[in-house]
Amino acid sequence: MRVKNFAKVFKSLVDPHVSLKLWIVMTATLTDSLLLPQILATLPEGIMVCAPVDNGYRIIHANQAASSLLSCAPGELEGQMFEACLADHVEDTQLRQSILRAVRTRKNQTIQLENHDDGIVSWLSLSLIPLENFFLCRIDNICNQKINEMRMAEAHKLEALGQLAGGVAHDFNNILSIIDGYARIAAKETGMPPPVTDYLDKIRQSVRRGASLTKQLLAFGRKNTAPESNVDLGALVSDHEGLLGPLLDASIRLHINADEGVNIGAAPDLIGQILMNLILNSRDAMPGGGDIYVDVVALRQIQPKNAQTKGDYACLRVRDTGTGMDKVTQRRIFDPFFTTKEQGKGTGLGLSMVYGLVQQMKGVIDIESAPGKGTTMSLFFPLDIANTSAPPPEIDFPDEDEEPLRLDGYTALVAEDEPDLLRLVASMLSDMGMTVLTAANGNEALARQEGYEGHIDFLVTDVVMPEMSGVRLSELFTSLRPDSKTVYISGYPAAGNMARIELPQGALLLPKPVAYERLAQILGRMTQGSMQTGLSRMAGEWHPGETAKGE
Amino acid sequence: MADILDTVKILLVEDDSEVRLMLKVMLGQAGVRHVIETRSGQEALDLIRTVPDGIDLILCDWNMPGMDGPALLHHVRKQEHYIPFIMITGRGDIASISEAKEFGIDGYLRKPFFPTLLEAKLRAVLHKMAMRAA
Repeated sequence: MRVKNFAKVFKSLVDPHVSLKLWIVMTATLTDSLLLPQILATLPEGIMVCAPVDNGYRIIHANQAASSLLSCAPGELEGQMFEACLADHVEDTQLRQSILRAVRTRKNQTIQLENHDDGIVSWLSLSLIPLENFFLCRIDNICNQKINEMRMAEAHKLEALGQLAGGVAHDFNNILSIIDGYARIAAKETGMPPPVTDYLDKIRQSVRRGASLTKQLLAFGRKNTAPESNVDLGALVSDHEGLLGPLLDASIRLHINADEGVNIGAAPDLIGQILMNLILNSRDAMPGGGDIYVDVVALRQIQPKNAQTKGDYACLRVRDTGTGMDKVTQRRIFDPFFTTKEQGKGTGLGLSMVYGLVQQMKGVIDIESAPGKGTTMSLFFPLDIANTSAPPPEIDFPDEDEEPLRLDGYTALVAEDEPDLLRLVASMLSDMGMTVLTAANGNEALARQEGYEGHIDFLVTDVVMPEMSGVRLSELFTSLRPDSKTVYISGYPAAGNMARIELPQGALLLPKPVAYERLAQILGRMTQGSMQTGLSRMAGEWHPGETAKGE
Repeated sequence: MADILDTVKILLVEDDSEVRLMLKVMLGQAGVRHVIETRSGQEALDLIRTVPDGIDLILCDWNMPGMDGPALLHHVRKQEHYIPFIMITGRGDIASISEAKEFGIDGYLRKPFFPTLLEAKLRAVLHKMAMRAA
């Protein structure tokens, strides 16, 4: 092959930004084609030159990169038939067609190869570049590109799933609010036979269970990946029980035994991802069913295997009674794309993701496993001693037997598009002694206040409503009535990507299902000025009949 | 469903061209797409008489040379077709506001005001009208 040809092809072969200089040097200095193999040997891309023979194409030159990318010894490729040497990697007909197309159309053809070598998947891109009767094959390692693509796809899938879950949770919360509210209203009726009050209690207990499930669904969809927030690992793991259960079929029993108050610096959602991946891995190791044990304990002054230092650690342990792994598999289990599952069954990303996340949290992983003996994955995270075993923060829900909050003389305008929920919130506020105005949407709320001469102390509004959001309504409403305070009710979180509408900083959010105690607590605090200063009226100071302030 | 401000036709009556422009911008920001501008009470009244049902709301300045806001309102209320009327006033005293209320305004705005207040007022008045019509 003449130097002129090589130089011409070289230009088209490689990225012009990278190799233009090389090409100039080559065309200027090459007098002897013997230099070419040496130059080709310096390229990171694999290059093979193929010449036509009777029954196909023979490789007449392959550089070092080509040999190593195709897992061949140096010099092994030369002399082989091109199609035959790639027979392990790509279907013969696909390859032949691409070569024919390249030769016939005189246009470059690109094919991608998926290479399975001892459990490890790799990807190569082959560019076939026609050159007179010859053609050149350029081979690129596109593993990084593939990894990124698959990570993106995985992230998008999770995000879409999260959004779907969040949407369902939101609507479901509305329904729960209504069930809970009417159960409360019914429970207030006097003279009911004891079984009925019991039934009502059971309804409310079930609502609480439903509400905690929707909370988890919303948390799953939310990207709360901010690092270094202090989380109670034990409580978090226990909270996930409801989400993990549905991942397993009836043949697998999940046992969670998590000590509460084991605090670590971590992002709650990342712990959720780790847990989910470990559980899925255990599940897949038990095709015939079995048990999964999840424990969380605080361990003092230990040095886990793989850890640099001795210290206090939070240990999250997931143990299964599955097939177990041999030492070889154990060594490679965290490699990206390593999978023992059939093709298409697993991405091989799950445990590599776990490994990455644990490292990110400055943790270490220890595996104990043997074929037929099951697997135990122990994750050790540095313990946040300052917060561990501290009593949980006080949640001062007023006792049901406590004197109920009275807000006589106050007025609230409630905006909610769900009629039943609107009636429910209105009835709760009326029970507290408030004057209540209601509106089914933002425009109606503005019209209601326009026609109301008295003072309106609170705007209680749903966040997500058709026509106008609660946030916009609050803006418009407070421009008309600057003294009014807004309380938002929503089935969505206040911020993050699960928040359909971002709430302003410091906004008061009452999560759905709306609980009477929580609503009373928020309003009670606001009227006492402890939550928001500058509220003009203290309980009991308002005199009915006072006219509204002008705009 | 289209937003209430999307389809509303507002007649803006304001003699000061700078203020008129500002109000038009504010209305545009609030999402109002159809604004008819007039520079005096008389011009507005002529327009209302020609196309009485072509206007959904009048946003009018109180003080104007010639036919002022209250005078225009007086004529508008004599029309068969009811058009909601929001008066813009620079006078903040209770007496003038009560006076305006007696004339039959649907809302008033005291200058200067924030764009949100204008939008809130428009929505409140228009929604009330829609409910009344329904």
